[in-house]
Amino acid sequence: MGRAKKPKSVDKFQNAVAYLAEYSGVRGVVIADHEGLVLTGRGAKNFELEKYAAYAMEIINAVGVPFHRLFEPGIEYLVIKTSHDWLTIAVSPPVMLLVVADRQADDLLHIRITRSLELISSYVKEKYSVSSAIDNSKKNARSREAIYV
Amino acid sequence: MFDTVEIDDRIAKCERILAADPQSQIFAALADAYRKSGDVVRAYDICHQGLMLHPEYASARIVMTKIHLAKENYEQAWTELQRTIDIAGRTRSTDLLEAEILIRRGQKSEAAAIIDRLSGSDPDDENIKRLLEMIEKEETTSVRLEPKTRNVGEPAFDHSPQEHAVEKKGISLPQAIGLLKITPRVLGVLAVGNEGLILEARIDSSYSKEEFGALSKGIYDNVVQSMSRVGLGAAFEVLIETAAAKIWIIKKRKYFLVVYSRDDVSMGALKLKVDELFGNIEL
Repeated sequence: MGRAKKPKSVDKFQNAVAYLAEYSGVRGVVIADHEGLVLTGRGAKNFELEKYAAYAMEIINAVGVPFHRLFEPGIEYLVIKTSHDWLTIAVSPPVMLLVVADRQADDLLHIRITRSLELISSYVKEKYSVSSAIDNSKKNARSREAIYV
Repeated sequence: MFDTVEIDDRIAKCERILAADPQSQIFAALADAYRKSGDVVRAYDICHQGLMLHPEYASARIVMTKIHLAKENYEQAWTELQRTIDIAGRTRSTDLLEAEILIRRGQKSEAAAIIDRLSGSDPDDENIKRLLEMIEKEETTSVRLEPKTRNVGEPAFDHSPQEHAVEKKGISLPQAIGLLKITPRVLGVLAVGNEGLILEARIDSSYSKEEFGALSKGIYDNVVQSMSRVGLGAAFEVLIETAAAKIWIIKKRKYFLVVYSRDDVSMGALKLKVDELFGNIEL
C-alpha cells in the first residue's frame, strides 16, 4: 500500500513556514484557514499550533469590531508588540499567517513575512484561482516591503 | 517695503466699512493692513475681536498667525495656524507659514522638508526663496553648533545629535503632536487619555477626534483582552494595516499615542520620529 500523498499546497505552505521559522527570534509560525483551522505550522517545543491559530482568529475578530467602524476594507496586517513578544497576523484570503517572535527579533523579519505572504499568495492562486485577491495581496506585499526596508 | 500711503488708504477704507457694519469680515483685511503698517498691537486687537464674532473665518486665523509671528509669539502662531488647518485644511499658504514658524523656532530640518516639497511645484516662488534665505541666516546666527550642514530636502527626522537633544528638551505634547502631524503621509496624531478622552489631536478625517480616539482605545482594549487570554503580556504597541491606511497605537504610561497614516508611509522614518518627539514626554 502506498502512503497517502500530501496536498501540494500544504507542501508549499510548509516552505513558506520553514522560511520564516528558521529566522532568528521566531518562536512559531502558523498558517490557518479562515475558520482558524491549522493548515500547517512549525514552532518551538511548547508552541501549540492549534491554540495560536485560534487566538489569532480571536484577536482579528476582536480588533475587527471597532476597527470596521473606522475603516473598510478590513485588516490585512496586524502587529502587536509586548515587552517580550512580537506577534504578526497577516490575512491573505482565504488563509491567515501568524508569526510569533521575540520582541527583540531583527526588524528585517518584516521582509521575510512579506516574502512568505507572496509565496502563500501564489500557492493559493494555483489552488483556488483567487486572482483578484492575490493580485491585491501581491501589490500590497511589494509596497509593504518598500515601506519597511 | 510696503507703500505707506497705500496701506494708510486701505486702513481708512476698511475702517469705514467696519464702522458701517461691525459684523463685517473686513476686520481681517483691516488687521492685516495694521500689521503691515507695523502696528501689531492694533492689528491684534482688531483681529482678536473679529474672531470672537467669526471664529471659523480661516483667512482671519491666517492673519492672526502672521500677527503672532510679527510679535515673535511663535508658539501662539503655531497654535493659531493649526486651528486654521483644522478649519479649512492645508493650503500652500498654511504650508509656507508652517515652514516660517518652524524656522523661527529653530527647527530647520522640518522647515526644509516642507520647503523642498513646495519648491517642487513652484521653484521660482519668491516666498520659497525668502524662506531659504531665512534658513541660511538662522544657520549663521544660530547659537547651536551642528557638525555638518544639512541639505534642503533631507528627511526631517535626520537630526544631528546636538539638534536632537535641543529639540527634545522642553517640548510639549501639543508641539510634538503638531510636529509629527506634518510628517509626509501622516493623516492624524492623537493623544488619548487612559479613559479614552482626547488630550490633544491633529487629524484630517471625516471622523471627529473624539470618535477616532474612542475607537482607537476600543481597539487597544480588545487587543489587551485577547492577549491576556493567550497568556501573553500586555501590548504596548499595536499596528494595523489595511489597503489604504495604517493605525499605530502606542501605549505610553499615562496616555495612548495614536498615529493614523496613509498605507505608504515609511514606518522606519515614522518610528524614528516618534521616538525623537515622544521619548521624553509623559504627563
